[in-house]
Amino acid sequence: MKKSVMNKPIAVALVSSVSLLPLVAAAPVLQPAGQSAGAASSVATPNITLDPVHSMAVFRIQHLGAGFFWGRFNELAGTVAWPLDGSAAPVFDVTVQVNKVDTGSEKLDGNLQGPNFFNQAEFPTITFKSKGATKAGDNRWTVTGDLTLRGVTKSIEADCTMVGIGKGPTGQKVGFECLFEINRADFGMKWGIDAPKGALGNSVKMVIALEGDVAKAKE
Amino acid sequence: MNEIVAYILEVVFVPALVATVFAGVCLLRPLRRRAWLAEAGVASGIALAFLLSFIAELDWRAVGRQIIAIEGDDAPFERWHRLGLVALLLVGVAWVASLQRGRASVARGKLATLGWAVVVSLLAGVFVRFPGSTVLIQCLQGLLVFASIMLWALANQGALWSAWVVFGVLGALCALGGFASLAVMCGAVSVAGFGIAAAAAVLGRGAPPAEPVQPRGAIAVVFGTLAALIARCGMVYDTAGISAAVWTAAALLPAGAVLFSGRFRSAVRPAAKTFWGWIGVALLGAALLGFVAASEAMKGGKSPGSGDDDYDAMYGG
Repeated sequence: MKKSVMNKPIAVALVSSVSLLPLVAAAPVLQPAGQSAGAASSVATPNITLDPVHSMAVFRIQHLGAGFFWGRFNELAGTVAWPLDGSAAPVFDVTVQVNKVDTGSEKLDGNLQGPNFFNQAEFPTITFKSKGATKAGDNRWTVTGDLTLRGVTKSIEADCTMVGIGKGPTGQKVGFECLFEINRADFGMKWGIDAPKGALGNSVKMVIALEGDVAKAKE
Repeated sequence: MNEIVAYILEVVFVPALVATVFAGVCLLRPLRRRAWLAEAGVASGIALAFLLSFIAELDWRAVGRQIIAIEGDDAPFERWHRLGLVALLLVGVAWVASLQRGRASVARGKLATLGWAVVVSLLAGVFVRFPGSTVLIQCLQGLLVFASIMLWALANQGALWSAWVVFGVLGALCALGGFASLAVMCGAVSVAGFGIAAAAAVLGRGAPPAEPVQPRGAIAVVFGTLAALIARCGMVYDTAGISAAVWTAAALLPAGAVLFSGRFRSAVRPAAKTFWGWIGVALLGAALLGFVAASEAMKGGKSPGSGDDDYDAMYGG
């Protein structure tokens, strides 16, 4: 009987490859241990909807060990739960769109959205959800919450101030400003810290300026 | 030492040097008589260059967390890190495929290459998923891997010297696309490609001259898979608006060697075939980069201080 010339090599190739399957097949379902499923829902009912035009997140980082440069995220959304009489601390739920990063340089914006930094393709948003707060002064609180950046969730503390209550054509508005500092390496954003060494700093200062529309009380 | 020089040495030249030495050992005369060993050395050397650069740029855990949960590791799971795992598997595939071809007849060897091309393309289509993947995109990705492997196999003598050009072009596109990490990894593969091709040429000298390394089998499988998946990765994470067609063309650059070896049939000597094959790939690569550069220039109207020089790009602006 004539033997087929194709059976053996293809069979070996198939068998060898199939033996690798369990290794590769396991991969998509694994998640790193540090990633939580998501923060718990806010304790209070949100009564303030953030105005995306008048809200922004601004960041500051050191470049080459020299000057600080600033960038901002132009689009964020979310809610705040806060009684206007100030009887309780605000509860924030804020989502920032990574693809709206703006440094004034188109090329740098692209680099920041790339995998070396925010990795917009895989992690399109940055979120912050309040977990608790302690009063730190008049209209000022130290807010603890979960910051999720690049898929990593870490608890942070933000210094938040209610900066004003005003009235616009559409109704009442409230403003907050929150400041905090993070080490970007904690969120897996390590490029430029050790390699290339000192290209960009590890510490990132964030200023979150929020303005929201107060929901009208139900009749 | 300048920090940027130290960085380039660490992530580009050291991995390339290790890979070249590793492949070079397999290309030494006594070992080279065994064609499968030379094939395995060259193929696994290229995959090793990428893997070592990947680990130097990121961390071994970036590969490890693709398959196991690592205690104390809270870094994010990123899909593009799958390329590190692919490189690791390709090192193994290179040896198994070469050994298998070494034991087979010429006809069976060709079929084995085809079999590996089909299997690796299927695996790449099923298990290497970048953001935004759909069934159609995964099918096209598998097809791209298959086409790339076939072109490397058909590129024949030109393939070995073409590797540094192809991965160099991919690296340049990655740098333009805002993906510095992948750019340096391509750089490592490109330098290793040059080193290995030079080692194959130099170590083959003498009387009688050693048989030229036939860039088929495992070499085509590893080069083709790596080039196609790097191009796909660059395409997905590109932030500069480089078109998918350009990335696809970069993965298929060995077509230049195929076209030129067909055009210049009179070149019968191996050295001439190698030269014309390389010229074909280099011309296509230069045309592709020229097209991208012209497209970038035509966009114009950039904001001032946009950091156009390489140094700024490398440092994130």
